[in-house]
Amino acid sequence: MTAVHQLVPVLHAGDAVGQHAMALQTMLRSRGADSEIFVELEDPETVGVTRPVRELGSGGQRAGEVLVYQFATASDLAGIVAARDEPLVVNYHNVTPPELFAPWDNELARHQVRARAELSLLAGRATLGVAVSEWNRRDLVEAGFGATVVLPPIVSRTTSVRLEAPAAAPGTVAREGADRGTVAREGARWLSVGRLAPNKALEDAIAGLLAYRMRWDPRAELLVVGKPAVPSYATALGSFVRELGLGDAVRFAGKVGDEELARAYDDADVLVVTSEHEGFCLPAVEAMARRVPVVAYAQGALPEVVDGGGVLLDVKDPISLSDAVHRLVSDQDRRAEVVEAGLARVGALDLETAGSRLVDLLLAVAEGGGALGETGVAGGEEPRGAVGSPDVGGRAAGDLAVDGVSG
Amino acid sequence: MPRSAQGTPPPAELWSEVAAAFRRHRPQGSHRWNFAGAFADLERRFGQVRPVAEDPGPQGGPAINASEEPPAAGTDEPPAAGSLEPRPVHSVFRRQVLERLAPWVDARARSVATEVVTEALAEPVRRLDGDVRRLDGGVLGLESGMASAVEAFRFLAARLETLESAADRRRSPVDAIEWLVPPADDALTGPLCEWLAANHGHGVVVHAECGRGALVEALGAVGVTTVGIEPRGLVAYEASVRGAEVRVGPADAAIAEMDPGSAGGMVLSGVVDRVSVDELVRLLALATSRIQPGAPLVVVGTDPAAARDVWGPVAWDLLPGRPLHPETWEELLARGGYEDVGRLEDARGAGSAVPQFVVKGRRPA
Repeated sequence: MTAVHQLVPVLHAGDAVGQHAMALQTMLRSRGADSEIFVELEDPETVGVTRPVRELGSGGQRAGEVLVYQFATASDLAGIVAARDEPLVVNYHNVTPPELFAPWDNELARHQVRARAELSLLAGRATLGVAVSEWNRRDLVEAGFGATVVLPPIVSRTTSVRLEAPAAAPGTVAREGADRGTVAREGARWLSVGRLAPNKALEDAIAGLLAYRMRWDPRAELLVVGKPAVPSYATALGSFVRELGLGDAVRFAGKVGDEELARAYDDADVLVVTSEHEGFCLPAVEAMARRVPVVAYAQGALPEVVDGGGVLLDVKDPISLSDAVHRLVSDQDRRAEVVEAGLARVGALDLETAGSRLVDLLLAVAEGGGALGETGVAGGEEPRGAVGSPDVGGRAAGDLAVDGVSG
Repeated sequence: MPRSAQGTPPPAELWSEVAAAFRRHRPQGSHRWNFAGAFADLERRFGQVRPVAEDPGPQGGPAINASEEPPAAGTDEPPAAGSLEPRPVHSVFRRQVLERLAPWVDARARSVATEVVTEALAEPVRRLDGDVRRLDGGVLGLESGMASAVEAFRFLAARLETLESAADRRRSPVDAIEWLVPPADDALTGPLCEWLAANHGHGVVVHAECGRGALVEALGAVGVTTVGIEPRGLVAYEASVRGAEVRVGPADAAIAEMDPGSAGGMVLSGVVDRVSVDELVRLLALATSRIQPGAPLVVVGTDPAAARDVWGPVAWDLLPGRPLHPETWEELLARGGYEDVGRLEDARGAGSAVPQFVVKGRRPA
């Protein structure tokens, strides 16, 4: 019997890697494969669906058996996996560069260094590396992976509250005093979604809001949704906001549930992404799906994920950010254009079939790898299978260039 | 926050300062300013060096003991690491930096001594060319290591500054209290400008608090050199955008920095509505000392009855002071020895969002 077992350091039900792993397990089982999730540390929330790694057995290559390592952080699992004989697929979700953590937390920075070393360790051992974006695939190639492929994370538009389109049409979401998108309305609502970690560069969103309030809208607000992941950084953000006199304008909501996050999207005039480093940026996809225009700095995987579905800024600058948001808030035609392009982009990402394509790949590996060539796998330096390229869903060709901005 | 200067981007320096303000919160400074990194770099280059009490030293080499007395002058021994501490220093600083750094400084001294010997024995050293190259590399490496350690010192200084600043903030129960009430509006600018242009003395005219700088700008336009003082950074920035010369900070601190008797006139507004009576008396005395004899003092106050309706409840509860009646200001100026005390009848604040009054007086010549 074909068996595709996953290894995850800790399976968190709420995070992207956890949801991806659990969805993959369900799909593998529905295709008749035996599939377990082995963990280094058990999470009480998911202990019923995981098994401790010591139960993986002593190893030894068995026909039709594949290990999938969900790689997002350093873990002793890397050494365990490297020492085994089964065909190995590394599903890479990104490692934040250690230099982004170093000013805030030495321990985390060292952890990232270790994670990178482990990725290189596994490169020589893996049959295939799967990256969630072309941006991430470069890490795999740099680490020494031979065969690589790009597939977005498994997210279903039909089952995810976050990816559902809102009931109201764009520009008609009612709120006190004004409608979303009306010209010259004050009190614009900026939204940022993601963990409070240095790579998210939320200080740049806050600086952009300051510029926006000074230049266009003194009542504008920023809602930051996300779990504080690096305490020193989260504390600094709070102090920074107070120092700028924005205590009443910036609200940190912390981690919220799916329903509340969906409401946050529906209340927002714009999603602002100022990250220094993003391996995929699911919030950008969620915002586009919920008809919220995205304004983002063109960093990390954002150009390929947003790719015409939002406004990308080539230069990190609070004034450019504030002016880009202002145009979306004050120009309804422009706003509608960006929203429609965002919806088209979500369709082009073809997230619904990402899971089945990944299962196809894993089953091909289990059957000896003979069918890999038909699944978009790139070997060596040839980049294939990028997010947005035809073999994973095509591209929404929205031509949204504005002054100084590539859309 | 008021809307201002639409279409006029704030200067790049502002954003540099905003970015720097955030960087100051980094608990470990920049990547290069990391203690661990600096010392790890030293150890990587030169191996571990520890006091002799813990480690007698590898290969029988001379170990370094931070507690040793400095050697007598003229001996071949390098100075002991204890010589790094000529004055008392903070214990954490001593423990984390100086004590760790001492062995490296000592090693540096050894290298310098080696360098001197090398120069003295130039000819023999040329015969040992390969060894010399290795020694040179060591010296260069030590210099690089010292640079890393200096970065660590700089980082520590920045952290101490941040901590001191944080301690100051904790002592203040209400930050940025001036934001609780808006700056005075510009309705009185015309008549005030006209009166001051005709009555100011020699020297610069000061307006504290100047808000968005309308009066400063108007006086400047008629040739009266005027400087504004404004505690709200963003409001001061708006004033500067419109061309007013403005100092950012509390009124009393900025006035105190002036030379006695140097101001050709002074306008007090905003601050006079919200500080306690004790502070008002001190501010008045301070302002009087800075005004040139014969030059005017003008107080722009808010109608107390109107303030109750206009100020928000939080401002009303938290601000330590209340607006005074114009009669009270007349009494204070008169008691302060001012002459020609009275109200400017032409400046009642018609058209102002908040009714205001103007009381003026002249410091005796």
